Amino acid sequence: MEFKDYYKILGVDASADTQAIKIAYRRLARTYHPDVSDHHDAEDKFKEVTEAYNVLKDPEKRANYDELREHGQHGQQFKPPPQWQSSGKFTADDFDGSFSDFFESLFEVNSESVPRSGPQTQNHHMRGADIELKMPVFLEETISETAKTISYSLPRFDLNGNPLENLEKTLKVSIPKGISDGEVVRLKQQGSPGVNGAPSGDLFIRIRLVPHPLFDLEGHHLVLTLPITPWEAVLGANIVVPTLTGTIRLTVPQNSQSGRRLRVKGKGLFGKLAKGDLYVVLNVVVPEITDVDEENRWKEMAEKSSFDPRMNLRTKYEN
Amino acid sequence: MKISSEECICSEDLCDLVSISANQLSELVEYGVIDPSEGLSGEWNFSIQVISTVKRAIRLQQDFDIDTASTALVIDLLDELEQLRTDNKMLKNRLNRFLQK
Repeated sequence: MEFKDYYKILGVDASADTQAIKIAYRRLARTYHPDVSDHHDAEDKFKEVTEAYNVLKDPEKRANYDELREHGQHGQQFKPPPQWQSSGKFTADDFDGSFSDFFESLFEVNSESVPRSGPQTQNHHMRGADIELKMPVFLEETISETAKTISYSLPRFDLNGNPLENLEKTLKVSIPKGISDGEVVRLKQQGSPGVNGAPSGDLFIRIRLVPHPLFDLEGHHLVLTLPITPWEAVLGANIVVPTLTGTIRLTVPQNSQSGRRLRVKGKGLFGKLAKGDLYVVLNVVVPEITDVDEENRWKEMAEKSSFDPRMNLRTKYEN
Repeated sequence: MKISSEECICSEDLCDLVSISANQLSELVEYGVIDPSEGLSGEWNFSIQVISTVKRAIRLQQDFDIDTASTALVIDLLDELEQLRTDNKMLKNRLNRFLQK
């Protein structure tokens, strides 16, 4: 078991007063709270900071911990001295999170205390914990109802609230058509099993649409960036364009500029009320000159054409 | 197993599920943290989409020791931030498609 230096975790001196400890905690909570932070290890950091604060804010527990601290160093292996006796008791009201091994070995954690992710009621009749999962879904899978298999593991607790080995579970679920990014679906009683006959928790699945190599999303509309040649842009063209379900032929009108959006009705994703559209955004791409003949063709056009895309700049800034 | 994102939940079940009182729930509605799915009059029912928002609101209230008005503001701003990040990512992505040959 690693020794945890709670002072170091909060970034305060061992002589810091309660006020300084509170300020340090509040600032770190603001930085690492999993709901407001995008730090990759925000949740672990926040747990650590909260654990440190819960010990150091209480004079009795702090005195207890200070005594122990003389025997250990942060990050190093640690065993409490044999004559040492914990005087601090923790209950669910003190701390709403899961405790580290280090913490549990130092303080008597009331077995009725309820970790945030653990069982939710007391008196040994405990409803199982709700579980939240993210499920990646491909855009193609939202076009029709799709079956997907999910596997997950469920924390379990015995009658005294002690953790048991996780329960592995596999479920086949059918994703309704038209599901959108960030939506949550609930599978009742597919979460952690309850204790002593109490009902299981629920499973919540948050849908995450996987970015597509070709299509971008605007709500339930799809956007395809379509490269075209300068002559297709000028003369107009009939081009085969991919959609999510196959291909279509698209008419590019004469004199189309780069960035022009062409709407293909009903070829987007399913929305709550109507089907979205596919927007094709034209991107005029200029070829690289690879031989003299080609270069001469462009030179000929340059000599004969009167096209001037900088007309506006000239009238504004020259004379 | 069939699933749906359009499932609704009544006030009582929502309170049970997230372990809050009816008063706490009505405060969350008053300050606009969540909205009942069929308007404010009559008995309230909620889309299951609000469950994660309620859980988040309670965590923020407890961990930052803030009232419901501040929680509503924090959640609004966090949602806006997430939306802007998503939009920004999407626009960058589209710009890259445009700049690549």
